[in-house]
Amino acid sequence: MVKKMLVVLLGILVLAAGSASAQVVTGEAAPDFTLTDTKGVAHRLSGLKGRVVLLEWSNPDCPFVKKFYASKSIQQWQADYVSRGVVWLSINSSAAGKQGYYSPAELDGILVAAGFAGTAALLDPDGKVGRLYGAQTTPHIYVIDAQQKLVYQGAIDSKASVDAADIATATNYAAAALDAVLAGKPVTVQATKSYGCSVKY
Amino acid sequence: MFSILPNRIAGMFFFTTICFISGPVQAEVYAAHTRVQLIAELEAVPRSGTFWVGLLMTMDEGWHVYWRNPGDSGLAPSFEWTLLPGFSAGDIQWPYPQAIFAAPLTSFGYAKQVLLAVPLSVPANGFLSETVDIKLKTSWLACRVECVPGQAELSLSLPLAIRGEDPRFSNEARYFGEARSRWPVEMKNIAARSELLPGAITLEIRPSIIREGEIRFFPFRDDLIKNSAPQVSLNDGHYLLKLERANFDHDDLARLEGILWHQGGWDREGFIKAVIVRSPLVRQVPSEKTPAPLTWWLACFFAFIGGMILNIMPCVLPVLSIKVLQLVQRETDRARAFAHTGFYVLGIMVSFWSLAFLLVALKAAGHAAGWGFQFQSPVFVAAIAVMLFVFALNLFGLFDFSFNVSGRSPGNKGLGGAFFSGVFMTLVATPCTAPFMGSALGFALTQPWGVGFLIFTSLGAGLALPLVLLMVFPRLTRLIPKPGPWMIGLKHVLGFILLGSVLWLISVLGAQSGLVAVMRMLVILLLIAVALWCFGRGRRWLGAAVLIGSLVFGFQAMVSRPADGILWRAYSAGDVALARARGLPVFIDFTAAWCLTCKVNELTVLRSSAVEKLFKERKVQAFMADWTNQDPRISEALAAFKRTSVPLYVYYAPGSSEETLLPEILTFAIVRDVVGDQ
Repeated sequence: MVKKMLVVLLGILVLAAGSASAQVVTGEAAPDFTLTDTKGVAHRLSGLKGRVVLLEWSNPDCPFVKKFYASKSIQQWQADYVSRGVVWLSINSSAAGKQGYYSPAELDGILVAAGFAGTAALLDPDGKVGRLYGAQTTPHIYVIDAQQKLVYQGAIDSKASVDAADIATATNYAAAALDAVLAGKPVTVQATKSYGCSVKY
Repeated sequence: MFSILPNRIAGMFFFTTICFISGPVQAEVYAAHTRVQLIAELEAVPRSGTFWVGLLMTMDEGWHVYWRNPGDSGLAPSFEWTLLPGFSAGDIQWPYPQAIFAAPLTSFGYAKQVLLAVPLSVPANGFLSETVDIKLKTSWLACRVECVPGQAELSLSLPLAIRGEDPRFSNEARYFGEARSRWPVEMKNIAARSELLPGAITLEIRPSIIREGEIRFFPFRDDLIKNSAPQVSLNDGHYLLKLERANFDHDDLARLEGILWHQGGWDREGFIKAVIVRSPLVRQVPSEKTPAPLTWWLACFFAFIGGMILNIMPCVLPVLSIKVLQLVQRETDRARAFAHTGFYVLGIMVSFWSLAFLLVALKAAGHAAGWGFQFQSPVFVAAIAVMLFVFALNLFGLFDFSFNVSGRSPGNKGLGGAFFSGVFMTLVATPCTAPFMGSALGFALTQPWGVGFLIFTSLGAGLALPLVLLMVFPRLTRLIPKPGPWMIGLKHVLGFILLGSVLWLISVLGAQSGLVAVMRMLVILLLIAVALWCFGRGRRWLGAAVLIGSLVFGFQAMVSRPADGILWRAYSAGDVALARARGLPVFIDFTAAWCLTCKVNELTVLRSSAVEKLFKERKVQAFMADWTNQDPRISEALAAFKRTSVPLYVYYAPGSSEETLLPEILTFAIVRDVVGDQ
């Protein structure tokens, strides 16, 4: 009888572990993590204290991500904000064998060809950091201030579509959050529902 | 070569002619693994009112498109109509979606095929054109694992209906009929209430018919709930869904809107699978008793007080009184009584810790296990009722048992018994939550598990305290009156209190499982009483036999589920005729509460899971004609079958005009033979 109960309890715990979902709340500390980028350099979030950080979950094969990259709009934002001191980290959480999974060298090649102007592109193939932050879609944006507090999470902009023409008429939430943080002002829109393809965990 | 050329020219001429004739009419496109077609329900456009057109999307194997709220990822299809002046397009009617799981994400959409229908309204003042051109520009997202966006420009030309004639249905009309059967309907006869809590939204539904099956709430907004979190639902007379809120601020939200899908269906026939929910959100008013936020030590304090108060609650007091009696009897042997109490306290603490551990684990696994959840299982309720009944009989002096008090065997048996009585005390205390406890326990479950354990420990300490006090200050036991004849009176009073608890538990069982379960329970209690009387009289073997008999009966009762599978409708000649007209098999049970044969047949055959399964498979419409009060309509019906008494079992095979009468004593084989061969 005791044995049976123990097995049941164990089962419940296993279930619990498996279904653990992230609870990153805007306004609270951003969870720390360490990931390696496409050039083999390790990046640790806590080591970036004092800098404003933007995390961009990405998948080069997703039509929503392609909308931003093919129109060269996101590369402009990357170049602009990096020159203003923001650390722009793109994170790829596609699991091996799933869409969007590339080896570091391959992904590096793709990003160079696309004109990626962020600070680094990190690889998260086991999806740990993705699940830690609760990243649901590509793209999914998280803006972290200099004190490592999460100030924005959600969509890049307000128009959920694959049409590049919508970028110009949409409200850019990521840029607004970055502008506010860099100017020392509070972020007005702190959380939105992200849109895009699902992250291929 | 010369002979080929004319053919070629002819072929090209034909081809271009056909192109010209077909013109720009493109009602069908294949893109993004989806075949999209613009179809109309009617062959012609009516001269007034509305008519339905729609986008029929047929996806390749493994691909899906999205609902109006795509869920965690994806994109809903969008429509842009180009219509003749005066025509207007209404909103898309979305059939209920299915949940698409790609852990840890959940999306909502459609696989294989879906029709998104839109009503077009004809201009009131008429118009000139004899043909109506309808153009639709649509874009959608189709995903399997990877996603592909699709776009299409479709057009459809319909003639205007002939004046005075109603346009006929087109070849594609059947898609519209099918889609309509999957449109969510407005709720009728269903009371709904929703509440906005700090981390969740609760939705309480009281439909008139309770069915088995999965339930899921699909919100219209995409930022409302965590789509992957389980929507815990309890089912005891009503459904309660607890939806985990997403990390967005909704405190100004006025209503909960979405569709509620039920695998078993909401209506009698189970055809309507989804209803529309538009429930105003009630905000939970913070109670004056608990200041928010509750600090952990305050919660521990409340838990401690609550634990002490539990001692005088109706669930616990009778059991505590047994402990008091024990103590009184053991007053002389102090050392043993001390060890006894120590183990009793240990029993309480260990069971509280186990419960805390279990609750934390269950909570982590995503179940809304509120305090008192054990009492949701009818088997648990029945077991506790039996135990309390046995104690009551003991107090009445029907028999003696050395469960707690053992003068002969020192040490272990008594200590083990003390430990288990501590455990039992905890189990029984759970549903009687004193006012303090609700907030302290709710708080405990939201805190890191260390704090939660502390709170549960305080609860256990409070529960155990009175007895420990009596132990530590032996003078207090002197306050307890000396043993004497008054003890017998006290025992009897406590016995009555225990019987009261048993009564309450049986009423809980009745609410959970129905009258049949209550009857079974009473039979079991009677048998157990008889068995214990035998034991008390020294007739061990007879007692054991009766006990085994009651256990067998109880087990069989447990195994055969209560009849919420077959819906037994009240007999009405009209309903029976309607069911027969629809070609469904009909089974009528003429019964009465005072008819013993009827009840035995029902308990053993008609309510068994085998018959239930058979009826479900054959879609048998079951009617119960209750003659308990000698209803004249039912007397008439009986007379029509040339009978004047019950039981009577009538079966109409589908499409047949003759009935089959089953014998008065049923067995599953008889039912199977009659219902089985059609």
